This record gives sequence, C-alpha cells and structure tokens, in this order.
Amino acid sequence: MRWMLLGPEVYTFLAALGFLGISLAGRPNSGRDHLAALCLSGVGVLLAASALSEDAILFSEVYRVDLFSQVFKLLLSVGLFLIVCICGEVREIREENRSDFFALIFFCTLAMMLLVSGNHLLTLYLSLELSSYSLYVLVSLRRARDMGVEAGIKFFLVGIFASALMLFGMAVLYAMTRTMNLNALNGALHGMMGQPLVLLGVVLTLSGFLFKLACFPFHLWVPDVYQGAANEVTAYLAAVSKLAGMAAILRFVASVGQGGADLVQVLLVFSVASMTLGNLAAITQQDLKRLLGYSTVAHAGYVLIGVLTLSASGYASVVFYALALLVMKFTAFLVVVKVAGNGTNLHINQLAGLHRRSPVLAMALMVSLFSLAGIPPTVGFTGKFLIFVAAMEKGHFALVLIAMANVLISLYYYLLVIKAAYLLEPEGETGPIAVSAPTKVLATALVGAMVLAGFYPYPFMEIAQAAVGVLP
Amino acid sequence: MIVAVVVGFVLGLLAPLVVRVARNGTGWITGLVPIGLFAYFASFLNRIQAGETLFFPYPWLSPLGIGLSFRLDGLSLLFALLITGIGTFVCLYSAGYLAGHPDLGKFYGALFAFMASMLGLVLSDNLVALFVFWELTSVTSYLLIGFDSEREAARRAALQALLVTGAGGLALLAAFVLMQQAAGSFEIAILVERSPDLRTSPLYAAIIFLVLTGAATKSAQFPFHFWLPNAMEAPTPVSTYLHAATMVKGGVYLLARLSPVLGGTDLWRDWLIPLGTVTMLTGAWLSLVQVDLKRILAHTTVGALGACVLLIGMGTQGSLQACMVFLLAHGLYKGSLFLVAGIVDHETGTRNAADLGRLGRAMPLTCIGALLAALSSAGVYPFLGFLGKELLYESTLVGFTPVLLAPCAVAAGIAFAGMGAVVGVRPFFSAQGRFSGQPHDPSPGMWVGPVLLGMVGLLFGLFHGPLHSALITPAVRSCILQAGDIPTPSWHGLDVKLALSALSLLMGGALYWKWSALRGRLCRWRNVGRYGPAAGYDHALCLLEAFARRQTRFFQSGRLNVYLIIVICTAVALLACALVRDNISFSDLVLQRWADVKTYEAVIAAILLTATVVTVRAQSMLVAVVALGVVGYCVAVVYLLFSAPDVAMTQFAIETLSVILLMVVLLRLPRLRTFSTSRQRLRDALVAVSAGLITTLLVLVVTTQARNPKLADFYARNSLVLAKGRNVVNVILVDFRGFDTLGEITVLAVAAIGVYSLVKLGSHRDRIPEGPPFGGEARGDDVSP
Repeated sequence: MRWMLLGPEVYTFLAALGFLGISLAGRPNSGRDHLAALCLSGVGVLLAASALSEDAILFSEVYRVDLFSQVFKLLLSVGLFLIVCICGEVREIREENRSDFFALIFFCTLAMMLLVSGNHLLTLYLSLELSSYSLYVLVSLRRARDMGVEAGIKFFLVGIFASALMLFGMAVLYAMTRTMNLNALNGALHGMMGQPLVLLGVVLTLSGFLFKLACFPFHLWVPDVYQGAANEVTAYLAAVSKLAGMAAILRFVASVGQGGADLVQVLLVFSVASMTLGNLAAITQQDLKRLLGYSTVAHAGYVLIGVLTLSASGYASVVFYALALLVMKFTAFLVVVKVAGNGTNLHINQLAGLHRRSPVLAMALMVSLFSLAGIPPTVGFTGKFLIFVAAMEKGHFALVLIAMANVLISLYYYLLVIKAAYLLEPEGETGPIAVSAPTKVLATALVGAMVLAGFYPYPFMEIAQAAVGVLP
Repeated sequence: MIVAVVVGFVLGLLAPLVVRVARNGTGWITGLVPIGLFAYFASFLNRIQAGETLFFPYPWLSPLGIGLSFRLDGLSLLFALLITGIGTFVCLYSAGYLAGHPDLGKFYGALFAFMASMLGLVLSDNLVALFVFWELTSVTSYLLIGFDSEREAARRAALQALLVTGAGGLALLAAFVLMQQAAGSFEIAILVERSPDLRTSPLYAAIIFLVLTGAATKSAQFPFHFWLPNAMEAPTPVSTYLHAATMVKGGVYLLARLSPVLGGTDLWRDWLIPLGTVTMLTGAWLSLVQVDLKRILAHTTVGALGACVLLIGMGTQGSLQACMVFLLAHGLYKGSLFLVAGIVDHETGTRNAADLGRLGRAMPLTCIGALLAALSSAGVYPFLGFLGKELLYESTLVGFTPVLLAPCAVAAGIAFAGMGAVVGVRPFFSAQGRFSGQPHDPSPGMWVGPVLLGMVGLLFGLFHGPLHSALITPAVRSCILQAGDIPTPSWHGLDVKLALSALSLLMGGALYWKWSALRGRLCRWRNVGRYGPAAGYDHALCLLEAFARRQTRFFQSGRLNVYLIIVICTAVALLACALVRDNISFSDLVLQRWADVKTYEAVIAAILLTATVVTVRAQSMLVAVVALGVVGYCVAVVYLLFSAPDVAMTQFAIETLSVILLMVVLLRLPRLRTFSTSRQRLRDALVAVSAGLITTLLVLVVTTQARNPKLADFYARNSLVLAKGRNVVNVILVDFRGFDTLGEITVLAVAAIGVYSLVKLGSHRDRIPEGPPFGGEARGDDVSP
C-alpha cells in the first residue's frame, strides 16, 4: 500500500475533520485554532512536497496522480499555508465561526486537490462542487451579514447556473462518445472536434471551469463577491482557488481539445472579452478589493491565451503563470488585510501615505502590482512573456496585440493604486501601521520571490514543463 | 561586466543608509560610484579603439535561447561613458539641490537603480534583457519624476510619462518577439548576421512600425513628444539626467543599435526621416513660446532628439557620424544648461526666463558654466556644438532631398542657438530682473557640474581628432555593417555648410534679442495646442474612463438577474451558433417525429406547460410553490413513462420534500411584490423563451444522434449469471447500481434533515439574525458619473 499516493488528500481531510470536530464541540479558541491551522498547513506543504514524485491511476481510472496533479497540490498547500499565515485575527468573522472558517478552507483545499487529480468528468464535477460549496459558505460568513449574505447568494446562483450548463455539456459529450473518462474521451473525440455538437459539449462543460477561473461570461460574480466577503476569504478566493480552476481547465482542454480549431475560436472570444471587460471595469474602481477582483477577471483572460494555444509550451506557461498569480495576488491581499486592520473594505485613498506608515507593506504592494501589470523583472512579466511567446508561436498575433493593449490599460489602474500608496499624502493624521516581525519577514520574502522568480525563472519553468509533459 | 550593471541596484538599496551616515558629504561619497564606473569603462577605450567588440555572456534562460549577454562596442561605450560621467555630476549636484529633504536616501536609491538600468540597456546584447532594462528605466524614472509628490502636477506627469513609455515598451516587446519569429534569435549579434532574413520577412513592416513606436515614446518623438516637457515637474537633477543626457536618448540608442539589423531599406528611411524632421521642427517651434527655463530646454531637447532620429534614418556613414557627435555635444551642453537652470531656480525661486536678469555678477561661476554651454548650444567655433552642427548640415546637404531637409535643419539650428542663449545668457546679463532674495553661487558640488561639462565641450571641440578616433569612429562602426574609413572632419574652407552655420548663428542672435517681442506674437498661436497630441492623450484617457464607466454600469450593475441574463444570452448564442452550423433541418426534427407522440404524453406536456406558466404568473407564493410541485411531478411521470422507475421514485420524493421545504421557508417571507417594470419583464420573458427554445432544439438534435444503448440487454442477460438474482429490477437497484441507490437514499436523508432543521428553527422565532437580510440597494458598482 503506497500511503503517500493520497497522502496530501487524506491529510487535508483529517485536518478539516479536526476543525469540524472543534466546531461541533463548541469550544472555539481563535488563538489555539490559528496555531493549529498554521502547524497543520505547514506540515501539509512538506507532505505535498514529499508526494511530488507519486504516479498512479486509481479507482477505475477516474483519479489520476501524476506530476501535474502533484505540482498543483503542492501549490495549493503552499497557498493554504500562506492564507493561514494572515488569518491570525479574522476580525470580520465571528468568534464562534472561526473554527468553521478553518474547517471550510481545509475542506475547500481538499476539494481542489481532488479536482486537480480528476480524470473523469464526474470526478471533476463533484470536486468542483465541493470546493464551490465551501466557498459559498465562507463568503457568507462575514460579520456584516447583509454584505456577506448578498455576496454569497450571488456567488451561489451564478455558480449553480454554471454547474447546470456544465452538466448539460457533459451529457452531450456522453451522448456523443459514450464515455466520461478523460483518457477515453481523448481517443473518442479524435477527429470529431469538427462536429458542432461535440464542440458544444466541450464548451458547455468548460463553463464550470470558467466559473472557477472567473472568466467571461461567468465573471460577473467576482467584484461583488470580493467586496462582500471578508478580506481573508477574498484573499483565498483570489490567490488559491484560481489555481485549481487553471489546473482543471488545462487537463480538460489538453484531453479533449486537440484539433479543435473552433474550440480555439470560442476560447479566443472568451479570452478577449475577459481581459477587456475586466480591465476596463477596474479603471473606475475605488474599492481596492473590487479592483483586484476585476484584475482577476483580466488575468483569467491571459490564462486562457496560454490554454488556447493547445501546445505544450502554452500549457507550461499557464502552469508558470499559476505560480506567479499565487504569489502576486497573495502579496497584494496581504497588504489589503494588514492595512485594513479592522477588517473593513479598503478604499484606494486609504492607502495614502502608506510608504511612510509602513514602508515594507508599501514596497510589497508596489512590487506585487507591478508584477500584476507585467513590468519586468518581476514574475508577472516572465509569466506573461512566456504566454505571449507561446501564442506567437501558434500565430495568434492579433490576440497578443489585444492582450498587450490590455496590459497597458491595466498598467494605468495599477499605477493609480501605486500613486496613492507612494505619492499621495494622507488627509489628517494617520499613525504608522503596526506590522509584526513575522509579517515583515513574509512580505520581504514575497517581494524577493517575485523579483527572483522573475529574473531567474528557469527552475520553475523546468518544473512547469515537466508537469505538463504528462498531459496528453 | 555584470558586476558593473548590478552594483547600481545593490548600492541603490544601501543608499538610504549612506545618506544617513554621510550627511553633508553625501554628494561626494555617492559620486564615487559613477566615477568609479566611468573609470572602469574608460579602461576599455584602447581595446574598443582597436576595433574590438567585447562580449560578456552569462547564462540566464538558456532553454529559451535567452542569455544575459552584454556587449561592449563603440556605441555602448559612448553611452556608458555619458551615463556614468554625467551621473557623477548629478550625484554631486543632488546633495546640494535636495539638501535636507527627508527622502534623500530614497532619491539616491532610485537614482542608482536608474543608472544601473540605463547601463544595462546600453550594454545588453539580448533583446529580452534589453527590454527588461528598458522597462526598468521607465519604472525608476516614474519614481524619480514623482519624487516631489506634494504637487498634483508632479504626480500627473509621472503617470503620463510612465503610461506613454509603457505603451511604447509593449510595442517594443511585440517587435522583439516578432523579430525572434522571423530570425530565430533574441541575440543582437546573431540578428545582425541574419538581417537579410529579417528585411525580406513579411513581418518586416510590422517590426519597423513597432520598434519605431517604442523608440518614439522613449525619445519623445512626435506625436509622443508631450510627455517630456510635462515631466519637467521632476526635480532638476532628475531632468538633467533623464531628460537631457540619458533616458530620452534610449530610443535613439535603440535605433542606432538596430540599424545594422533593420536599417538601410527604403521603408526604414521613409519612416525615420519624416519622423525625425517633424519632431525637430515641432520641438524647435514649441520652444519659442515657453518662458519656463526647464520647459524651454525640454522642447529644444525634443528638437535635438528629432535631429538624431533624422540622421540615423539617413543611415549613411557621414550622417551616423554626425549623429554621434551631435548626441555627445547635446548631452554635454544640455546637461550643463539644466544644472544651471536648477541653480537659478534654487537661488532665485523662479524659473521664468522673462523675470530673470543681472545674475552674472552675483553668481560668476555659474555664469561661466552657463556661457560655455550656451556657446556650444549655439554652435560657436571651436565648441563641440559647432562640430555637431556642421556635420548635421553636411549630412542634410549631401543626403536625401536637401532642398527640404537643409532648411529644416537650419531652422532648428536657429532655435537651438537662440533659446540656448535665452537660458544660458539672458538670466545673467539681461538688464531687468524681478525676483526676491540674494542670489549667490551655490556650494561647489552644484557649480562644478555645469562648469566642468562646459569645459569638456570646449576641449572636445578643440581637440576633436583624438575624440574621433577614440569614441566616435568605433561608435559609428558598430552602427554600420561595412564601414569604410571614417574621416576626421577637418577645415574645408568656406563652403555652403559654413555659410549655413553663420546664418543660423546670426539668426539665433536676432532671435535672442527680439525674443520677448516675438514670443508675445507667437503666443497668439497657442490655442493650436488644443488640437495637439497632448490633448489627444487627455481625450483618450477621458474617453477610456467614460467608456469603462458605461460598460461597468451595464455589466456590473450588482443585480443578479442582469448577471444571469448575460450568462444565459451567451449560452444561447453559443448553442444557436452550434445548431446553425450543424445544418439541421427542422422538419426532420419536429414534423416527421410528430407521429411518435402518444396522446397521454401530449396531455402531460400540456399540464407541464400550464403549470410552468402558472408558476411564473402566480400572485401568491403558495400558488407558485404548488404549481412548481406540479411541474416536478409531471417530470417524474415522464421518467416513469420512459421506463426509469427508480429515477421517478427519487424525483417524486424530492419534489414532495422540496415543496414542503419551500412552504416552510417562503411562508415566513412577505407577500410577492412586483419590483420590475413591464418592459423588464418582457425582456426576461424573451430571454427565458429563447433559452427554452434553443435547449429544446438541442435535446431533439442530441436524441437523433444518440445511438441506442444496449444496457437493457446487458442487465437481462447478466442479472442471473453475475448477481444470482432473478428479478432484474431488484438486481439493478441493489447490485449493478447499488451505489446509485445508496446515493439516492443519502440525498433523501439529507433533504429530510434539512426539513427537520428548518422546522426546528421555526420553533424559536426570536433567534432571527440582527439587521435586515438584504441591505436595501443591490451592491454593484457605485460608479459616480
């Protein structure tokens, strides 16, 4: 029995159960819970790292453990750990719900681990739903109930709608091919991608992943939910839950998409719509979380460019971008959480004078936003560069130009935020922000990681290439 | 070599510390860094003069064919010496200019980072590395321009400069990627060898266009020239360094560097020569109406950069030589003039040229520096500026369409001479002066820069032979593939270009004397600027914001029904596209199979439809819930008719439970009210009906395509053999599909628990959460108009 095969999943499941137990026993103690979560997620990272080389196909071929899934499981574990790091005092979630909060993010991470290993449409669907349901509840947990519940309901309704379309698509695919196993689909669909119904099945099935990825037309929930959820939950949504969506869409498209010229067209439309709508909407934003929400939508568009190349280099660029997004989005939200000390939403003007109030946070914010905008030598630039080169190789010249115009638009609103943090003087007296030493270390490390991985991305690119090597 | 580039970044991080420790000696200590680098680069002079090109490859992204390779040839060396040399004076100067500023440490940090990026830019032999440094200069310049962030104008200018150069940077990246597509490499050295491939590639025109856009934004070429004068909000040392000597020359450097790769074609000339000429004239013309010393200088800089681009566009040996000399001369005198303008501003508190005068006696040292620079700018013999201007005229005379270009060049020369004097001479010798305070020469750190730079301009002009063999000739050689002998310019006696020089000097003098009157007249033309590119930039931003607001208000209204309508419409559009492309015939689908429909099926369908309509139209919750239940029961009956009794059973159970559940929940809510207008309802109905229609069609299509499953046969044959059961239905439920059954039971159980907890919740009504469940308005984008 190779226990490490499912090590990360089983471990995360047990950890989640532990927090559920604490919650049921009704003795929440936020300090203790946070420490426990920190230790558990830290060990989880080690476990996921040691399970990197596992390889098997399990349970009648519905579940696949390979380098691709293990890399994403490692990224998910790291993301979980990072999020737990900033959840010391989740002010916007009631005391009595704190252990629920931890249980839910562990459950959600578990679901996403299952998702990245799914090798069967139903596995993918079920794990997608499990993670989404955890998130629906997490969003609704906000102390300001009207905000949380409104966001939760919007999230939920758009989500189930996407799920319904996805199920419908799966039914069509099944009707056409008599199989739901990704490997079998890969064979069965060979030469069938030209048929409109097959294309329809594939695109409708994609809708679930597009929802997860916050891509057009399933992106509409993003700003409202980002604004309505507690800051820490939004950070988790933005930084971690996107990873699983990227992994799932990659595996699915790599399995079924070969030879799908029409599929490429559809994805192209979605990609252009996502980045354009996202970036344009972000310009007018004053609420920092909404702004980052729109930037998520735009980034989903860039990710789709890598996916629609249908080439190994494109997939590898997406895996690299997943890593980049995790680090830059998390850093941006780290600043949001720390600056909005009392857990309220953050207005851009509230950043004024940040470079005096907390130089470390201002630096982290600037580097992460430059990275999101794709300014070298940050990791965001390298990621975009890899995606654009992969797209150029496939001759998507116009698409890359549109993407670059979008990058320019995004530079504009990121600069507005940086301007607020660095150049604006605050109105009235605002004291320095108390930042604990570990937070300072974390922020500095993240800045270092963004610049280093941007300037010397080779090791990460190698991992990404190896990971997508196992995709069909 | 990599150390020479990286040292700036590292010291940039340490700068705040140095400033804190060094206090008054800051300028002299920080100045050691650029002077040290200057000495390092100067040590290569001999080898470069001998015609060597040094390569310093470092592994970077080897699998992508991208190395961090540096090259040092004549062109790079010229720029590197300019960057480090002027950098030294800027370091010295800033300590005095910004003395006591709380953020001096950060300033030096950004300055060093900028210097390092600039060095990286001119030394990179790889396009990707070059791009990285290119963008780094933009980012560091953003921080430097916005340094005096108290003023809104400074913040705006910083944003504008970074947006414009950022746009150009992206164009450049696209160009580089295209070049890699066409020639298969990012290494400039390899691209030079493969330049025939590039010139014949179908992508050539696109590459030229994109490279030009990038270079034009950085070097403030028309129509992107407007950011440079606006960037004069920056502290003067920054303007000196970025906007006169180094960064704005980045675009010129790039064009010179790429001219052996891309240049020499008709297309190249057709783009560059007009671009350079228009910019040269625009800069010269606009400089006449300015009164702010720094803005005058900025506009003449624009003009000078235009001249450089024009010369590179011609691409002959002589014109490139002219470009290099002119560039060096300009860097020296313009740097000096900027520093002088800063000193004057610092001492008198004004930069208005019309208000300044009589400073000559109060600040003699500054005056000397200013004079030297102004004479070089005017092109007076024997300054380097004279040589630069001579060569410029010569190139326009022998080159292409001299009838057009030579007058343009002379016009620009007049403006450079006259406006150089307005900045460098007028404040010191003009009779009237309206300013406050007692101006005097500043600390040595500040005046040493202008004086020394002016002296260097004079020395280079006097002894231009060695200068040519050491710097200019190698630089020209690296811009041209087959360079022949490059003659050192010498005295030709009286000829046309000397006459032109004399003419421009005379006219420049006239311009200087009559400047006040002339400016008054020209100011009437100012309104033309309303239609210029700067206004275009503002308009574009306004339009973008307005458009963004509109589309955000449309898409992100915060209303869930709008969100769902968008999703549904997209799905319907997709489905419709697929169906149209499938070329299905509706008669096949609908009419021919009509005969299969049994009477009782039609009855059930009718009930289903009626119940649906009732659900939607119901005035009370109770009716709606009951009607919905009817819909569910009808669906269950359909399952039953098509031999799926187990699914039907589940459906019945679920339907019953959910009706009860809905009752419990909904009866606690207020009565239904109509929130929507009839127009909205019509829209919703349209969306719903079209979605229903499309889905129906799709189902019909899918059912025609689906092959008949043979599952029933399988169960009949195998239930006894495999499961030892004679009742096939039993075997299916508990054996073949045992897990399904388990799942169904679980669903039932969970639903029951849900009902139980709801009922229990209802028994203590006092525990209603505080606050209204939905806080008034929908939370969408609060976009203020």
